[in-house]
Amino acid sequence: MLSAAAAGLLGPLLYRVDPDVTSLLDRLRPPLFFGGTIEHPLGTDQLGRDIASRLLRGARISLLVSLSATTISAILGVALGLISGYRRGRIDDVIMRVGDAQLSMPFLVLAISVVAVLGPGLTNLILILGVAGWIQFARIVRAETLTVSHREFVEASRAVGARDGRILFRHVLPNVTASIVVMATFQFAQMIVVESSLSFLGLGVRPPTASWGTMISDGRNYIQVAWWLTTVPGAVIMFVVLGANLFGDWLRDRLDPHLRNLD
Amino acid sequence: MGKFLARRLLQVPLIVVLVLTIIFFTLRLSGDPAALYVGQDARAEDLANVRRMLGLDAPLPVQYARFLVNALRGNFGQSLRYNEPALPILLERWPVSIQLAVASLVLSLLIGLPVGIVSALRRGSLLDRVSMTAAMLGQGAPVFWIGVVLIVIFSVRLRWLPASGSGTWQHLVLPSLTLGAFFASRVARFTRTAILEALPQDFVRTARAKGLSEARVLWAHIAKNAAIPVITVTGLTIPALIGGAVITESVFSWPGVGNAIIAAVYNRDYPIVQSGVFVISLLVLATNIAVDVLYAALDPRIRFD
Repeated sequence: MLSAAAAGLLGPLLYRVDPDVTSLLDRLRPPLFFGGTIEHPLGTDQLGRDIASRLLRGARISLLVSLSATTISAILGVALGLISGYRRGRIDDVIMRVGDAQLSMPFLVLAISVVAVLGPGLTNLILILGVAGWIQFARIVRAETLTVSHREFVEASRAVGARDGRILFRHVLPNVTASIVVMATFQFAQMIVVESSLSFLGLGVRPPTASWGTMISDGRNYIQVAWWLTTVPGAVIMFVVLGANLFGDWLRDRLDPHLRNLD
Repeated sequence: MGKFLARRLLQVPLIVVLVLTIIFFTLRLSGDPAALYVGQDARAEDLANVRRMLGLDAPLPVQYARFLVNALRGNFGQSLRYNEPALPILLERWPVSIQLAVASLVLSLLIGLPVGIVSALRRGSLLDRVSMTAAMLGQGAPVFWIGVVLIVIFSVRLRWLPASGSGTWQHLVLPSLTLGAFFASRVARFTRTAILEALPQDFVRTARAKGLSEARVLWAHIAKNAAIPVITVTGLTIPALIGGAVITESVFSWPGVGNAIIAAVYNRDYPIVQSGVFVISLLVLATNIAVDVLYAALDPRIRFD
């Protein structure tokens, strides 16, 4: 995952092939070792654009969308989860039931229906994914806040007259950070998949911007003659998601042994 | 159990209303739903007409109440494309979708369970490592990509199976493999973990000490205890499975509900999209409750209160 991030940021500097340069003479060249040349190590697409450099450019978009969306979800979810777990009572009920309702709409289906109204595009995509992902964070934060707010140190600080805001930020939040970070890595992995799925359906990032999903979608039309157009970007997604999930597992084991059996 | 189920069922209407509320406000996110219906270059009087026709000239609370009442009667308005009520159009397509969902569910259990069990019993073996790596990859691979790769291999290269359409069992193979891959990976991983956790426990040792055969220990004691986490995962994965089904149907032009929803999004046919989202939510709700019931039936230790 880190190497994908590094590749997205530094790649275009090191690998100086313009991802938007079209060259009809060089169209649909296969990757190196499959009859291709070193000039285009992962082959070229239907317009002769270099796949490797489009992947690197796509990495920026995919990671940008997933990171921003995860951040938005985390902020929303943590805030609502803290309120829910700390205040309890009616507001807790309202927040959690809305969450239940939202969870009964599959993430992707919900995202599709919102895109249908707002229209595709980078900003909309980030906003939709960000807002739709709050509930996972809210649930985990709420559960932990419920237990933490009964611990002695919280009672103690309340006894000496600390205000709610102080208790929440100085005492409760630090104790739930580990779970939030772990959740965020898994969420990030999910966002990459959802972003690419939406872009694949033509509901996410708009062409000609290269996103991993749009690359696979474009390649579908040339499936008979050029398998690498679809296969290569998908493999990249798969390994990045795998990396993020492994990183999440590792973090979970490191930060909180109690969580180990969750999945 | 009865009490728990009753309370769970009592929550359903509330959640259904909340789902409808989310659907209602989704359409209004754009500001003016009438503009969505008629498109960008409509004349002002057309816009006004549509607004009146759809009841959008009423105050928002009135619109909301009307929407709820109509929706609960199964009326999501006319499909703009087919000029027929939207909900029946979708319901017609259910059997085809269910066919695909059930096929991939069965397929992934048939693959996932044995792989998980064998991996747990032969922990650390080559087989274990290979299948768990495959399962990790299977969980990370986007559904649509698996579909495309399968098409490349089996339809384009080998020409064994059709790449789109429905009707025969050959048509069913690739879509259900595509949709099942993710799920099978999950089932395999969780089965393995669940069995590994059950293996060192006291009741297993007791059963062995009683002189039961290894097969009986495995099936009567280990499998029964391992079933609970596996069922949980199955339940939790259902929404993802349905989301994946939408994509799979689109990749393989499978004429089900998911395909209809995607087509409706392209056609800006909002009544279809709305009723689709609603029907899918009901399905998820129903499976969640079924999972809870199954839970309690399998594990008498679980008391819901």
